[in-house]
Amino acid sequence: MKWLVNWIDDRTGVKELVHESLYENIPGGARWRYVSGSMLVFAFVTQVITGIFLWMFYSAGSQNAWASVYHIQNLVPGGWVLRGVHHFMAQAMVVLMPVHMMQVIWDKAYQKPREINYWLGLVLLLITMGLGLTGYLLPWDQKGYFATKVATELMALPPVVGMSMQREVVGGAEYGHFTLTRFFALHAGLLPALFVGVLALHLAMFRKHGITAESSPKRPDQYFWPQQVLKDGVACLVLFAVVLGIVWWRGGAELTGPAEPTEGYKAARPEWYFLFLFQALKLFHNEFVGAIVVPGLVFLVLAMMPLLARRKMGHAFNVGFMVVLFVTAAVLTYQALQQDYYARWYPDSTDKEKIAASQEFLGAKTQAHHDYERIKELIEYEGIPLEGPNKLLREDPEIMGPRLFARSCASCHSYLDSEGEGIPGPVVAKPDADGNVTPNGAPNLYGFASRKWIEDLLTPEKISSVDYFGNTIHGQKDEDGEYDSAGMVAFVHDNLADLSDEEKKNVAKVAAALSAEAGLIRQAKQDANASLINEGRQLLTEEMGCTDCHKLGEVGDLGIAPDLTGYGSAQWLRDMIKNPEHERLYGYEEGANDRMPAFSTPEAQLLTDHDIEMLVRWLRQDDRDLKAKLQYLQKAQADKTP
Amino acid sequence: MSESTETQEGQVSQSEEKRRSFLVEIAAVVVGGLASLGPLAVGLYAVLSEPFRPRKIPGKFSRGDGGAGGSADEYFVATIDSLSNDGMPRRFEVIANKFDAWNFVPNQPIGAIYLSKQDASPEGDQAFVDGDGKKWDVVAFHATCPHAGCSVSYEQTASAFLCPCHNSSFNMDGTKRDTEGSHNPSPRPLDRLNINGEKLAQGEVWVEFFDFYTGRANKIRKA
Repeated sequence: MKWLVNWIDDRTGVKELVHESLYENIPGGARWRYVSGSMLVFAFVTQVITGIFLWMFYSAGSQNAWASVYHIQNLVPGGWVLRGVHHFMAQAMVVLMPVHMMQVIWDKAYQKPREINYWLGLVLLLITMGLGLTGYLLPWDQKGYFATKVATELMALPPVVGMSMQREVVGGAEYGHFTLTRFFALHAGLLPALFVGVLALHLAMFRKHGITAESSPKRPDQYFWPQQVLKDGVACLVLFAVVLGIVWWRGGAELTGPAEPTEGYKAARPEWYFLFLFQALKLFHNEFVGAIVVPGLVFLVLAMMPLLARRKMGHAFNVGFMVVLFVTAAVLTYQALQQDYYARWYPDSTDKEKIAASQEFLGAKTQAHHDYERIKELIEYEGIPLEGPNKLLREDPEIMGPRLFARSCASCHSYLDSEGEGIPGPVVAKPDADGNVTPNGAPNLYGFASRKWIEDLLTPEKISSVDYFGNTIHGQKDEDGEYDSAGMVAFVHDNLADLSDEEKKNVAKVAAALSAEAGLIRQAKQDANASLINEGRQLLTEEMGCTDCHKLGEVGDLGIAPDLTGYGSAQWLRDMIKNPEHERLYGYEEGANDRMPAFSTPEAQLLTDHDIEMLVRWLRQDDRDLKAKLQYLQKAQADKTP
Repeated sequence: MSESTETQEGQVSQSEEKRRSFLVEIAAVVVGGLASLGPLAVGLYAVLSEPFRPRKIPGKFSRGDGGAGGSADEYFVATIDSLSNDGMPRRFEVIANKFDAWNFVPNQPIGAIYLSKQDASPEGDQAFVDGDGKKWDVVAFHATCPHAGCSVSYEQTASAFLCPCHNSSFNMDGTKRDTEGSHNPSPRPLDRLNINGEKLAQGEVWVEFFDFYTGRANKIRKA
């Protein structure tokens, strides 16, 4: 063993090297307060190690980046811990760096002859910020995409070079594959290499000048080894344990849904340690000043500190400046968080504007969370197609349906479940002084064509409520306070009020029969009860007299009321959305269609066929329960093959 | 006098110091080691265990029922009419659902095989009977060379399967071919694949396809 060590030492001089690094004299002996530098080195090394392992799973490219991070997060054993440690150790670095810096300034270790080492430290701080910024984009999720977009948009602000600079960083005019390849090369290659180089100089210079402290009789000098090494080791171990604890507590680093460039993300925020810059930007009316000039000036002052210190009161100014800087950053960070979480922190506040802004942020976050859970489910069932995860989103009614509904339907219709959750429609009109209500809404389409929905439709107090025809011309009373005697509302009020239990049961049977027309997947089991459906159908065409106005199958005629054949089926809904004035639907009579536009006619397409398909399937809730849908399809397949 | 006492005291405290220092050294090594091994352990665990992780195959909707072939690894490759009666092997791609890390892609080429039509042995009851009452069997070989995983090709002039990498060669029946003056490095014959006899009788070639480890004397299926 000794022979081997000597053999190596003769050729490399390793003994001296180890001796030199371990037997550094510490004036005044080992102290706990010297650990911050070592902790930062440890944090950086952790980033390199976890980063290289993440690299083994990561795929830079706009179709694969999110998918590979999703894979790390959800499928790689311990992958969420690996990514979590990388994510939170980065934040630990950002927290520790200012602490280290403040110590250096407090101890006057930035002054002559250590100016250059202080500047190297500032460079390390800048590189760390660069690593944070570039790393945030790599998962290519909604959050990272839009937060980083803001940063690169601001990059175009400086005169003359700004726009070209942005193009260089983004890798073209738009975000895409090259943005990721460039950011990844910066994040995993160039910036860490720079960091290592500058760190080596930083440490070499630190060794040259030694620790700033002075020896005293009470505290004799000690070598770095072993006392300080032990303290450093304990500090690093505690840091790692804390980071692991945070990873455990937070369930790893957050991943939102895949970036959707055309959809936007209202809760896009930079990482919390950049929030003060984000907030500062709001204070200035000129982005160039807020994002570039002011931070630039602050950094200039930081860089000038060693020179300022030579003046009278210079050191005091520097310390004061640091304190003001920290307090300002803390206040700005707090303000940014307060604005975003206002509705949650101050639920009783009367500041409607602040509440609304905060609710928009919180709502977007909740929605993003729901979307992510849904995507997870879709991936478990289908995997991710080659076109990328966005294809799954665009073809999923549960994700696209609400978006399309909010955009195209919610100006009249609402979509609210029994708890009142969902998509609110327009504000309900209040009666004017004469008691007249101007209709401004259309039925609540939650659960459309289900048994429950139709049963409620056939209930007097419900049909004239805002959930059905209350806010439409069909639910309006004339001058004598009467509903249109030929209309559905009048029919329900006249014939279906105060029913006996027997009659109520019959109405339920009719509702079941009509609902079966829709062929809802989630009702398939109930609809299989043929005797009930037949009974209901018979009531519908005979005793109840529905087919006196409506047509159902071969019974009844068109021209008086909408066709009930296939009511609520995919085809019926498709036709209705495309053109409600179809002769089978509300085209039976001039003015029967209240105000619903035709969303797709040969002349004008407000919605594409794909959009309509998404809306139809979402309204029918066909895809809500994927397991049930799969079983339904498998059963249908099995029934088909003899 | 006083000087020597000092030295003596110094020596005593020095040895005491040394003992204490040793404990600190051990602690420093242990604690420092633990701290630096932490991140490494997390990463190693993820990277090393991932390839052995049990996989749930997605594509539940787009996959359909996986075909009527029965076994999950059995795929329709060709109809028997697409093979020539003279027994010449033809190369086919096996088309199946591909699941690569996060991507599920239906109907992708996942491998290649050689099929050839041969006279069925008289006792073979699951053969295809053509219009003339003649009985046919089909032989399937994996197109991967069992030596080092290159792709073999059928050479009509030699009436053999030749591997372009290290000169392995195989007879029409898949056995190793001996050629004078050249070494055949393959450790085993070409990998023959099972054919669904029931389907064959109906004129369809369904092959049970999977990959095998190369370079070994026996066929071991890659899981």
